[in-house]
Amino acid sequence: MVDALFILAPPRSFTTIVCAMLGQHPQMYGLPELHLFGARTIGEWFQQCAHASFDMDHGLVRVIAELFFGEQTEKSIARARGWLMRRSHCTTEMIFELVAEKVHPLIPIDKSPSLVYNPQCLQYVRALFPDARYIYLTRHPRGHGESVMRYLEERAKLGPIPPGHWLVGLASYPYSFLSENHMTHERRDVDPQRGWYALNQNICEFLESIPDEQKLRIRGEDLLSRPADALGKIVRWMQLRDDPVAIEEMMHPERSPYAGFGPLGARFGNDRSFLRSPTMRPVRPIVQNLEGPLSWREDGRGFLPEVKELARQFGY
Amino acid sequence: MNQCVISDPLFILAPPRSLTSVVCAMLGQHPQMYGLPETHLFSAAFIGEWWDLCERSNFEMADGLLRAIAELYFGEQTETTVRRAVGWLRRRAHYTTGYLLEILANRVHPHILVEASPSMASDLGILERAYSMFPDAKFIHLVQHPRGYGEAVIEAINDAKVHGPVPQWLLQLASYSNLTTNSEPSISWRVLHLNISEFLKSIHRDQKMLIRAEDLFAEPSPGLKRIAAWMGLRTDDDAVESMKHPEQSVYACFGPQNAVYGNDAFFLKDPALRPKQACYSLDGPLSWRHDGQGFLPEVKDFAQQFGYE
Repeated sequence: MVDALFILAPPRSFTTIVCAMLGQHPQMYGLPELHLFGARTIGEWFQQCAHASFDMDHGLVRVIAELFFGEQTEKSIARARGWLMRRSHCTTEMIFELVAEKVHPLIPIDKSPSLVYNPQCLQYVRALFPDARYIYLTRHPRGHGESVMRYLEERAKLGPIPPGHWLVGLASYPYSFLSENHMTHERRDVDPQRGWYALNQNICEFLESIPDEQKLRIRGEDLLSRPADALGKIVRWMQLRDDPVAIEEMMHPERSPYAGFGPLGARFGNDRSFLRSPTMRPVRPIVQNLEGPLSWREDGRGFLPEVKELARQFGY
Repeated sequence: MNQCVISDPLFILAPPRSLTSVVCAMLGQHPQMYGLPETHLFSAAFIGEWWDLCERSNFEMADGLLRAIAELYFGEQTETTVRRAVGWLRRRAHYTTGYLLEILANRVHPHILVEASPSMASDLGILERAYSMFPDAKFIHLVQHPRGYGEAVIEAINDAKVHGPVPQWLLQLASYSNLTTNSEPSISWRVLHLNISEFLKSIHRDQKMLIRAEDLFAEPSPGLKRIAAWMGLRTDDDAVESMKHPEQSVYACFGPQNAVYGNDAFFLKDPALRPKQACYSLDGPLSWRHDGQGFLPEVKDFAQQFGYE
């Protein structure tokens, strides 16, 4: 049975750097974003990639090039695509299992943010990998919202953002899940707190069905401000080595084979800011408040009550 | 599933009746290559779809792949092993055709597979499917003088008439266009070679090679040596000598009753290599036409691009 670790969090929640850090542990292997489990077969996955608003296939293609063809070059990327095309009939979990076998005895870590958009997708993963463990990585809704807005501004510099882009979707999540008294707002105005709430709700609901020993919730801010403590806690929970050498290894996410831009044809597969600057820089703990106006709202409003309540459950 | 990393195959691209069977069998006798019969795999994306095409086909499309599976997985080509091969392939109906070829490549590893299904030339989509699945593959574009090709097509039609109705695919090759009531195989020659040329435009120059069949058959040794060198394989005398014996291929004869063909019938009847000098001209009347006309200008133009005169 595949023993895998899944990091669950909405996009813009430190998943990339945390996955790369954990992946440097001598007994784990951090994968880029595979986005595998939204499709049943690799053929269907290729179709989804063709219609995605981002370079959805880059992560998996880089992994196949690295693990099965020994390097990430234009040549091996082309070969990896052919290898995957020939396996269009395979289920996506079969391909994940092949990857897991290839890195064995290391434990593969998947952190595809697309997982948390679809509760069915999460249940599917649970059924396929009943022994898997889950790290639930949380982020303060203020820090998350500001990060989404910053990323949106960065992306806008590259040209007009298509309405179907995932970032627009995350920033303007629909209201449908919120209580009636908030339905008076324009239905798709920009306010990333809704995306934060909806995706965290998906994760919370999913994790209710997971035994305690298979799940661990960590605040991303704590992990990045006191990495040695948080990483030690994680590896002890995983029943892996927690000696100083292992912890020190995890302080170097930049050593991951996916911690840089890939060759032409598979440049990404991870958050672009991380790819540009993958080194970990100690972060001073910033106290963020759940009260007060939100920088991205012109009307001076603050967080919705549902958002505040959920954030408090995470200790914010 | 998690097999070794195989070398992508060598594909020989040419229309039917263009000496692909003999050239594939020759290259397949190189100590580092393995020549397959015609698998027609890339006409479909999945094996189930391939079976459907075989059932609707107007020729014995399944024979080559069944013979290869019988040989490689059941140790011999008999009626019994071909029946087993049918079951084996039916059980793999969900596989992509590319994955099936990869399985065969693994089976013959470290030999490199050589594949020469003439159906590949019939459609750019088929060629692109093969390339998308094997982006490292090499391609030999095997050309033949349109006069030699036309005569080979007419010869096959005349031969078929002796035994019964002429197969539809042969009639299509002979009269590709409705513009003429005459048999005019040079039109299919041009269309099919144009497909190949168009496809090869996007292929890196290191991955493709043009071979004129007449040159190869006039002087086999230098031509075969050149191909082996381009493939990065042995070019010693023993290796080249082996390639001069296509008749030693396990597929260079008729198969059992339930998979008789899988290669050109003329090759199966007489698979030995006989070096020959062919001297064809692009001018003058064509033996298969009753009106004394020669090649169409566009056929001549295109043939000249391959160095024919």
